[in-house]
Amino acid sequence: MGLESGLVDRARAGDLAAFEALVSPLIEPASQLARAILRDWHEAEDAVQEATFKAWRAVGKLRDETPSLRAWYLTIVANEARSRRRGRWWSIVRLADPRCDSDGPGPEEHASQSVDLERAMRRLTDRERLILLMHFYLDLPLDEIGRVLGLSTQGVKSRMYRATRSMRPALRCQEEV
Amino acid sequence: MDDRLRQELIAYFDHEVGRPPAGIRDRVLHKLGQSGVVDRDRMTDRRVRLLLQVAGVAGFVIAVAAFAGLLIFTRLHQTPTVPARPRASALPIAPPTAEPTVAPTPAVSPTRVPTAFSAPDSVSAIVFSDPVDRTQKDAIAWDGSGLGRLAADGAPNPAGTLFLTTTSVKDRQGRTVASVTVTGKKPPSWSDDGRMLCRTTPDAGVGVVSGTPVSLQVSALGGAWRTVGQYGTASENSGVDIAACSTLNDRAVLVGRMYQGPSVRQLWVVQLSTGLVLWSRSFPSGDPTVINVVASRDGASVAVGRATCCPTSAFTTTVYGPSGGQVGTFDGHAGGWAGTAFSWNGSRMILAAGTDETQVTVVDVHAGTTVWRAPPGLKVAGVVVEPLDGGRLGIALNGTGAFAGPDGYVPAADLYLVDAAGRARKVDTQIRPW
Repeated sequence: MGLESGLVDRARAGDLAAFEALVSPLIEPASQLARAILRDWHEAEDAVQEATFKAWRAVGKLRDETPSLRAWYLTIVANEARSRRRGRWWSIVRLADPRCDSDGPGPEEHASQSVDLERAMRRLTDRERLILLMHFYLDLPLDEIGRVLGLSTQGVKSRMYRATRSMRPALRCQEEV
Repeated sequence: MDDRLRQELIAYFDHEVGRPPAGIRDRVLHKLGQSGVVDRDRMTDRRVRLLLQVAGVAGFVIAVAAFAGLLIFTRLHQTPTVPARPRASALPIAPPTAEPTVAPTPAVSPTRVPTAFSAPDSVSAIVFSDPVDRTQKDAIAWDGSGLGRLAADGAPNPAGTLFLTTTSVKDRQGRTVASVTVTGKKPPSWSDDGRMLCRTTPDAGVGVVSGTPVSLQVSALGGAWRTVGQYGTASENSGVDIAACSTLNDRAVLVGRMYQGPSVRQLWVVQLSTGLVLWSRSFPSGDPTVINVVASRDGASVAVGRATCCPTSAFTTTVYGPSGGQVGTFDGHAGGWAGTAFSWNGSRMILAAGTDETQVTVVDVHAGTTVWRAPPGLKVAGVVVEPLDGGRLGIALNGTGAFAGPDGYVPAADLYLVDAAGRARKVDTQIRPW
C-alpha cells in the first residue's frame, strides 16, 4: 500500500488536521494491539496517546518509500506498549502451562471450546499471540506484521505456522479426553 | 489454517481484547490537539535542557582538567612538611529539568452524578460517559427533566432508551430486553426508530475473498436477520459501512470504503422495503480524497467531505438531498470527526472549519446561511441528535479543562443544545464526550 500522499505531505508540513485524518482510523486497532500487550484498557489508551504524540513528532521524517502508514504507526504503538510493560513495577502472572493429562479440567469444562482455546493460547509466546491477533483480528497482512514486530515476512509466516500447529494438538487433546 | 480455528481465534480475541472503550479516538485526538503547541514548547525545553547538560559536562571537564593541573603543579612543588591537598571544585552538572506539565486542573469530584436517571422511557435522553468513571453511563433528558446515572452500558439507541451490547439489548435499568448475537467485528447499527438493528455482512477481514458481495440486513430485536439486498463488495481491506438506517423513512445510506486509509469509494442510498438503489455516487481515488460520508438519521440528507490539499488544508462538504440532487457546498468538515453532523431531518448541519477545525458553526443546509457560531477555539468532541421532530442538535465542544479521574486526565467538554433557529443553550459543563 502506498501512502496517502496528499495527507502525508500536509502532515509532514505540520498540518495537525491532516495527521489526525491519517491516524484517526488507526487509533482503535492500535488500542486493541496495545491492550493485547498491556492487558489493561487504561494503560493501553495511555500508550496509544503517547505513541500518537511520538508519531506526530516523527511524521516530518516519514519517508516516501515507507510502504504502509498503518505499519509505521502500529510499530510506534507496539514499541510504546512494550516499553511500558517492561517499565511497570508489577508484572503479569503467567499461569502454568496446561497439561494434557489427568490434571486437566473436569468433563463439563471440556465442553467449552473457549476454555480449550484459552488454554492453548496460554502456551504461546507473547510474540506468537501478537502475530495471531494482528493477522486474524486486526486483519494485517504478513508483511505489515513483520514491520511492526521487526521480523521478516517469512519469519512471521513460520511463527504463525508454529503457533497454529502447536495449538491444534492442545485443542485435540481437550477433545479426546 | 482451517476455518473453524480461524473463527475460534476471532471469537477468542473478541473476548480477550474486544472493542476499545467508547470515545478513545476522540480522546486521543483531543489530547494531541491540545499538546500540539505544548509539544513544540517541550521540544524547545528539551533543547534548553540539552544545552544545560552540555554546559554542565563542559564545566565538569574543565574542573577535572584544573584538578589535574593543580595536582601536577603541587607534585612538582611539594614539600615534605606541607602536603598539598587540592580540592576539586567541579561545577555541578545541571540538574534535570522537570518535564513541563500538560495536565490541566482537575475539574470535578468523582461523585458528579450521584442519583439514578429516573425519567420515563417516553423522554428521550442524551447519553454520555461519566466524567470520572468512563465505564459508567450517565444521561440528561432532552427536555431538561432529569440528569442521572444509568444502570446500562453499551451503544444507546437514538432515544437513549435501549442499549446494545455484544450479547443483549438492555433498558436504562440494565434489564435484558432481548438477546442478540453479534458476529463479526462491527456491531450492528440502531435504526432510527430505536427498535430495529441494521448490519452489513461480511465485514472486511482476513480470509474475505476480494469481491465478496456485501449484504445489508435488518432485524427486529431478538429476531432473525432479513437481507435487504447486496451492495458493493468486501475484501481483506475494504467493506461497506452503514451511515444511516431509517426504518421510519424506509431507507439506508451505505458507504463503501477502504480501511487502510481514510478514503471512500462508493455511496448508495437504498430502500429498505424493496432493496432498490434510490441513488448512488462513485468516488474515484485521487485528490481531493473523499474522506468521510455522514447522513441524517432519516437518510434523506447526505454530506460528502473532501479534503483539499496542499498548500491549503481544508475540507469541502457537499450535501445531497433525498433524490441525490446537490443541495449545496460548504467550507468545512461536516461534524468534525464526530461522525454525526445533521439534525434529525437534515435541515441543519454542523461544520468544523479552519486548519484545526476550531471554527464550529451550525448552518441551514437549504438556505446556505449560518444559524449559530460556537465560541471560537473549541473543537467538536461529539454530536447527538434530538429524535424525530425535536430539531435540536447536542454539540459537545472541548475546552481547555480536563478531569482527573482514576484513569488519568481526560478532556472535558461543554454541552450546547442548538435549535433550528440557532438559539443555543449550554446545558451542562465538563462532561466526558460520549
